[in-house]
Amino acid sequence: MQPQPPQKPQIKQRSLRIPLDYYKGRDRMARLRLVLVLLAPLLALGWWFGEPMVTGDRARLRYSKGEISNPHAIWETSCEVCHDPFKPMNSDVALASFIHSDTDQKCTSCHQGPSHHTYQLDALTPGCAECHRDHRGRDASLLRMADTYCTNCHSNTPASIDSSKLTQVGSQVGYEDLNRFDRDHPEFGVRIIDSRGRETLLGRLEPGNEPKDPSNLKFNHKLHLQPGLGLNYTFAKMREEDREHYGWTDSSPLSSNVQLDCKSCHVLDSGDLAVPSDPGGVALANYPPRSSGSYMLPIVFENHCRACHSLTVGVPEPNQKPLEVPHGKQPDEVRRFLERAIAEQILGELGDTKAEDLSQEQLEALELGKKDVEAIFRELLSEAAVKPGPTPEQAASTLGQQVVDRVERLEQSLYQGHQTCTECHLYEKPDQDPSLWEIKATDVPTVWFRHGGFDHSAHRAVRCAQCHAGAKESTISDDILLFGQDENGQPLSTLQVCQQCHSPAQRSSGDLVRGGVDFSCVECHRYHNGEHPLQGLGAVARTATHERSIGEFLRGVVSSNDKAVSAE
Amino acid sequence: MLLDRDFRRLHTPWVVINLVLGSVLIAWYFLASIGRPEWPGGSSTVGLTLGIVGGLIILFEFLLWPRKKKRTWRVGRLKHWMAAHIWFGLLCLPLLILHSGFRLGASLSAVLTILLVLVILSGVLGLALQQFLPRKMLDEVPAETIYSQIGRVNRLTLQEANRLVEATCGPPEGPSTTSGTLFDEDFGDGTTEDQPSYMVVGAVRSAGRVQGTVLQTSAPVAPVPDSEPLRSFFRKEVIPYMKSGRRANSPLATRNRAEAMFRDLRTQLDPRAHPTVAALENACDQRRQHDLQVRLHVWLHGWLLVHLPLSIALVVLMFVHIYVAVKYW
Repeated sequence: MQPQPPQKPQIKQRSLRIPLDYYKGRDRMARLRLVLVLLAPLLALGWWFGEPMVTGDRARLRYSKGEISNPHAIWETSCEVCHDPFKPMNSDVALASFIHSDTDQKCTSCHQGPSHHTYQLDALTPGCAECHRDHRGRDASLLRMADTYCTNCHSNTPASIDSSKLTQVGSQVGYEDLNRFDRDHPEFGVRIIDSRGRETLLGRLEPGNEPKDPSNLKFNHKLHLQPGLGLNYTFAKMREEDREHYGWTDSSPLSSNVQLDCKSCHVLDSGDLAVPSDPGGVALANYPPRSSGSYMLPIVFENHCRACHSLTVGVPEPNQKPLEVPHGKQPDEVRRFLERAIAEQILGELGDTKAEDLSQEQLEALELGKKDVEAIFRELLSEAAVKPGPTPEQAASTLGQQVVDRVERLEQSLYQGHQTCTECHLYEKPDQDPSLWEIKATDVPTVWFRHGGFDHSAHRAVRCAQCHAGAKESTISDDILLFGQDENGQPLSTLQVCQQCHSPAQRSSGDLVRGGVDFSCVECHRYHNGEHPLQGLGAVARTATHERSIGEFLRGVVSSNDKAVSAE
Repeated sequence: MLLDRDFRRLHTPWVVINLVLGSVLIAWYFLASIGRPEWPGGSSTVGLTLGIVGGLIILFEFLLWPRKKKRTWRVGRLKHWMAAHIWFGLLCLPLLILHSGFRLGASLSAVLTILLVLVILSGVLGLALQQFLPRKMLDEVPAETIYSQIGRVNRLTLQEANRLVEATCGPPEGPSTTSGTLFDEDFGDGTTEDQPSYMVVGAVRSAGRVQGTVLQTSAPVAPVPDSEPLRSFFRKEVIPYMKSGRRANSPLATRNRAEAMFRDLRTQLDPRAHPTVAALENACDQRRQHDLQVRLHVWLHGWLLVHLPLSIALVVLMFVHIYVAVKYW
């Protein structure tokens, strides 16, 4: 076929190279874009509504702010256990002042949080979730919070107090402002409960201006920490069963001096209390098992003192055990004890005598004594008192008078000298008659800082003298031995002792020379129930408002049939 | 949108608005965080405000799509909308990061954050590409045509080249291998075009200082003897390249090698066939330009494949986030 002759193109032909309606179609990219645009919302909504079909409640974790802490992890997928839908969680969020929320009630249904102080301003009192913020991970602490939560009020305490409430409560505040522990925390204060039952600031532990503890006790630390207790007290004088407890070994001669140290008396656990001579121990019955180890257990005579300070009186007869007066009795109770004991002794002596050698009175007493010796000799004493004009010899011959005389001599050794009771105790003496005296109750606090916590077991690797440097030189019990000293022997206040570790880390040539330990407020202080500082987590004020069955607990619900837990 | 000489006039008001608004909100956020143990989150007053502002910005950004679809709407000029779209879009990222309190949170909020970042980054990429790719196309693709018609134009050109070669070389001996389905295809509108005897190729012409793209027509010449090398070259090299472009892995895809090949072809042919060779060379050059145009077009518009669908997903999940955030705030 022959090729056609050349032809010039017409304008219309050239214009039709591109169709006029080309724009109505989509090129490949436009089609792909359209597909993606249609897929995008489908995928997004598909993910949102589809995942719950596969994972159930765990799909709620997609909008959880973060992992729930361990104590609350059981309800991680049950938001309504804590959250009130469409209501603010805490008072710190937007619009919280306009919308009431029951979130705090949800918290207190399991654990109440009594107010810090009744006289604090309501406007500055945060809700539960404002301080206790969850959704920070499994291991996050709900209790540790930044100092700003505390210093919001305590940097300007007067402005944080509702003065009208203060008048009603009638308490004294007596707090100093601070912003940071290592910079402006005041010297630690010692507070006691006064005679009106109110907490009173005894004083602040400032060097050279230390308050004294009205302990009503006489105790000499210095003497007790010397070898032989300053009196050449040897193991030979101690009961055999107690020696090992106070450091004697088989290789030590009995003539060696007893040497006490802090741990001889100050223990953290009741398992370390009992001395062999008193295995049951009066004190043990009063201590709960498994002590927390925070505070030293109270000093109790039976467990800490009795091994050396036996309360024996009188000179026993051969083959007779010494008469030991029980501790913890007032003089009138001691008298009755002595009368009974002496009466039993005398009756016992009578029992060894032949009947024909006894008077009628003695026989009757012996016979009746089998029933109630003490009652009988009270009767005899009263008869002796009304019998007309007995001569001293005649008076002394009555059994009742014998008891009186011997009791009087024993009371002299108990109260008049510097031994036994008088060695440690102070008396109210309204009369000459010792049975009318009253031993002043001792008042040595177990917890010195009522509003600040301290854990001895956390500090067990530090020597006692680092924080209680005055013990070896203290001769009176009124000394509050809460001072330390630096490495040069210079005295440090309690606050300064704590700040040696609880402050920002300071290094010299790479070595840590000071600080490094947490010094946040919550390290030592607690917020809730501030007006009952010695109550712990088990106090009724902190219990749940609603009790549940296990099933309800797992579901985080409160049955409407459950009664709220009453204060009783 | 070119950030060019008109930038100051068009964009300055939006830049100022966004700077002022952003500065005020960011300053408020940092002032509100003083004394707090942690950065304020989305439920705090300042965090909620930032979230609302950011959400409104996202909705405004999304409205550009219908605005571009309905160009006849009297709601402000499109270029102003685009300028606002750019600057408000850049502002919403820091606002929403502050709204989050610098926390990624769980999967919903993390997905939202990732979507937001990707949308903004893709937008910034698109804006950056728009600053120099059009100029590059103008300079390097004088034979530019409508993107969707590139295939059609090249098919037409190939057909015309075939006829030109046939006219130059004369009818082939034996059955034609260039007829059949290769050149008898429909052009998509149900009709087939009359087979022209000319070839039209895009070319650059200059008149004085003015340069422009024109369509250059090459008319076929009378048969030239001893032109079989031309036919052979056309069939072996030109047809595969014209049909498949870069995918043919042909040496004609490279300008220098193509020039060398055509130069070598001319030495084998009668000078009367040289115009046909020049026409074929122009056709291959047009094909190269169209290949470049395709690549540039993909770069220039490909970012929208990320930007658009992700922004839709962002808006959808934003409403989900608003619901659950209000429910459990």
